[in-house]
Amino acid sequence: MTSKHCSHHAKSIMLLTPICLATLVLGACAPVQPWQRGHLALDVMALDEDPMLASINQHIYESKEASSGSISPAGGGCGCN
Amino acid sequence: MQDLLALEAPDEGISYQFTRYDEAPLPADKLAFGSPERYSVTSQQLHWVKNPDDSYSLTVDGLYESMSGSSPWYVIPDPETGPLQAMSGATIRDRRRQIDVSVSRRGDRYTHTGALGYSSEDDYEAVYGSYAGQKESTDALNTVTWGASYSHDVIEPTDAELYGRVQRVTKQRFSASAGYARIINPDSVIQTGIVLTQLSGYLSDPYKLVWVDGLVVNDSRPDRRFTWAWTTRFRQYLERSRAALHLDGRYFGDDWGIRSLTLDMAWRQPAGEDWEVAPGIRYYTQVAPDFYGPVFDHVPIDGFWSSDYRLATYGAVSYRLNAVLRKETWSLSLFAEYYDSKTGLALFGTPRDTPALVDFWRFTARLTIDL
Repeated sequence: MTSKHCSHHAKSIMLLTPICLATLVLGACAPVQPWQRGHLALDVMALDEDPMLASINQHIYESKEASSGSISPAGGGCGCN
Repeated sequence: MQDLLALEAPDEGISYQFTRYDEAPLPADKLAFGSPERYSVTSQQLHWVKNPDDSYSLTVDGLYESMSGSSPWYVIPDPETGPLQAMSGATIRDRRRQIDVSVSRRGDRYTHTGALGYSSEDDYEAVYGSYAGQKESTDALNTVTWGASYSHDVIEPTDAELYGRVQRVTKQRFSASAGYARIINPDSVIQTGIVLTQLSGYLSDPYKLVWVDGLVVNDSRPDRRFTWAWTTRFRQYLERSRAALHLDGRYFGDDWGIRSLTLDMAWRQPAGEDWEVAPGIRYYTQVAPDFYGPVFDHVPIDGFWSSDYRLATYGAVSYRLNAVLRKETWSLSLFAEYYDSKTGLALFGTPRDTPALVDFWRFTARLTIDL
């Protein structure tokens, strides 16, 4: 297999992984009444990470890796190297 | 009724966070010349939240960061040992100051947030703004989010004349995002979203050089880049252990040919009345762009080349532990992380010898006082 074929194959697998996960989980949705949402209100269930920790984590990973972007729009840049 | 995302006013308070970041020295057998001691960074952050009334929140964030150490400069071929890394000889010292101000307005099932920010270093300046919105369905089972941001950066490299670097260049970044979150059942939620980003201007690294056909020349990358990142987050509550499992995944790609996959798993476990302990593991793998190489034996016809180790094909695993103590009017958080990167951890692509891949330790401590 050539490296170009291998690279194409790799890109397909990387894209398919989150698609499969999202499809599987969304397919399992069921009605949830307001009085059934106590566990969802707990701190440990938060979707968003703590904002200060999220800010420094994002800053470190983006300055050392070639990727960026999460759920929300990006902040400012830096010359970190 | 429980909000899926934070539609209620955030707690008023002030937080101080201290972070120490230390990169492992470059191994002696990979060093061509220069100092093996790499970057150390100390960051101090302040975060202040005030709710003037039920509808509005004001948040101010300040950061002061000091950096020192040597940085990978360029790679030199060596037929006997493989590529060796040349490091910047003198210790680099820089400081960064950043301020961000954001205002949120909450209404019936929606939130709008606008933010402005400014970041300044000796050789780098960025001004940016963003908007983010979210709206919840009437049954509060679904939430949609959207946003946009813009950043204008100015780069004025130090010792530009001495080293033949660019004198003063700019770059711009425009980013747009959309997301959707849903309650799946009484114990689980999922969120998925995409961010599209257009970068333009000077996107090379003015401090990096490249060995091309026997000559050492400046890093050269295209002046436009379009990126996309798709993130999915899943939370599952486990009643027996009173804990939550967090699973996050991100697929990233761009028109330079970079692809990456990030998988993150954390376990948030309450302990006793006041403590929470959260171990986590993150795996990251990326495929290099077409113009990356440790060295170039021939001059690429498109004129683009870079040996920046951050563009290489590699994989990384990081291990972390967060412990939080929550009291009635204050909380303390202690966080540690170890990051280990290797070409052998790459899941996809064909890794090349990359002597400068980084490993680091990081410690963060935060104190929050409710006001």
